[in-house]
Amino acid sequence: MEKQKENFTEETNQEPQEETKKQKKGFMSMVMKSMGMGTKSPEVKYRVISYPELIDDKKTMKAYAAHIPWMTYREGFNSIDGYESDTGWGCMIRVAQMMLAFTLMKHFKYKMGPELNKTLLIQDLMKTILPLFLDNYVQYESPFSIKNIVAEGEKMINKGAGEWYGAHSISQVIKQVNDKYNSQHSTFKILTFNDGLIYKNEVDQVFTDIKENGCLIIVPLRLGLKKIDKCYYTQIKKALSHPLSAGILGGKSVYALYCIGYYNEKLITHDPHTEQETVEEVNDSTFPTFVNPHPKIISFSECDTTMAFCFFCNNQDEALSLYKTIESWESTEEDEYLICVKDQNEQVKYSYDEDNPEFDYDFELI
Amino acid sequence: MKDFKSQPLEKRKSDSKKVLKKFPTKVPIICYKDHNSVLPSLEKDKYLIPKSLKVLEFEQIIRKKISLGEKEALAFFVNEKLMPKKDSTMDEVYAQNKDEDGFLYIVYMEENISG
Repeated sequence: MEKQKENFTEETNQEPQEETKKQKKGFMSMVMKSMGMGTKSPEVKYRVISYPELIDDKKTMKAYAAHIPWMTYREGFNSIDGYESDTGWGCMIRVAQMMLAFTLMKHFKYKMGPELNKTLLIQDLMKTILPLFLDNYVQYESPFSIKNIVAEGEKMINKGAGEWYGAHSISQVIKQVNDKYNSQHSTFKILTFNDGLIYKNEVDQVFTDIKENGCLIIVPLRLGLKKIDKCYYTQIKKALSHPLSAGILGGKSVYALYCIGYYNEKLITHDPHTEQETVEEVNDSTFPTFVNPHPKIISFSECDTTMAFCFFCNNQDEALSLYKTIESWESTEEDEYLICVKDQNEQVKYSYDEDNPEFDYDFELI
Repeated sequence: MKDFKSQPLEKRKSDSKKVLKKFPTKVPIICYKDHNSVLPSLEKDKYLIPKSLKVLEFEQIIRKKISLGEKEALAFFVNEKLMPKKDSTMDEVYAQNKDEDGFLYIVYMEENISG
């Protein structure tokens, strides 16, 4: 697994990290605590986890993919309603887990501040986040385990184990999972927005209560009936290459993929469709099963029409810059818009005038 | 909507002309679910909607009519593309996308799912 140690900066001489402890008291304190136990390699500089300005060679692409946790089908976990494997049904759940793990990495890296960041290794950051996703721990130990996600999905939208999710429904469910299991440490918020509209007041509210909040914004959209029109390609690329992007939950038809960037007019994705054995903990021997420097490349024309665009803001300033960028996308004439920002959600007041006496066609009047 | 389109073009043309004349502040649309959709169907598919109605308002009305919760996925398409900006008026959408028969065709659909 030597190649999986690829990093944007340089190879690291990583020492074995002390096993991450799981605590029942929410995960924030657990993660912050384990950060202090990371390897000490002050000579290695940690590079920002953000989209490289341009992915124009395979080496950069592989290094970038290796930075983003890879979640796959797992088999051999404790039974979830009779299922001991999620092969054949869990791909969208795994895709959402990848996005969440990547986002949480950004969140905790920011919260640690610039001093600690200097000595932080990407591997250590990933190792501290990954226990939050382990299959066999539930509730507060691993808030984003497949078990928790399926349990909430069943309650919310009647999608239990074995059911397929779409980018839209999984977004709703992970928001609920976060609200429920992350209530004690509420510095990480998830907001989902329908209809391609981001409401500023809802995002701003996240930063009003606690300034140190992080806000994951998910915008699920369906971009076409059968395929994605070319007029949206540019917007998809702009969204993916935005510094605050947390990728896109998408895929090919009935085949979920986590889109992390684009390269040569194609999408770079992490593919969850590999079955691996479930792991009980994240350690040096199991860690490589969460790393994959070989992303799957797909063309825009193969993409499924349903996509959820994800952005992560660490603070109000970042949110403001996101609004500004999205507003600038809107004003571009040559490409069709995808996402808009609005001040607030105004509920529509309308009345039917069905009683219009002059009306003699079989139309319904609105 | 195959049923509606199976009517002769001339009849559809004269229908749309009549209603546009009689209701100058409204536009005639045909709204229906995609044939692959599992969402509920609308009771009616022919609507006369105020020209000033915003796209978002229209979408919310349809969502309510098919009793779909706020959190469920719903997307609308005109001519195979997403509806224009949400604060456009239905008059603008009509002017740019109406069919030769004088009706505007709007299709709705849920999300795709993957396993």
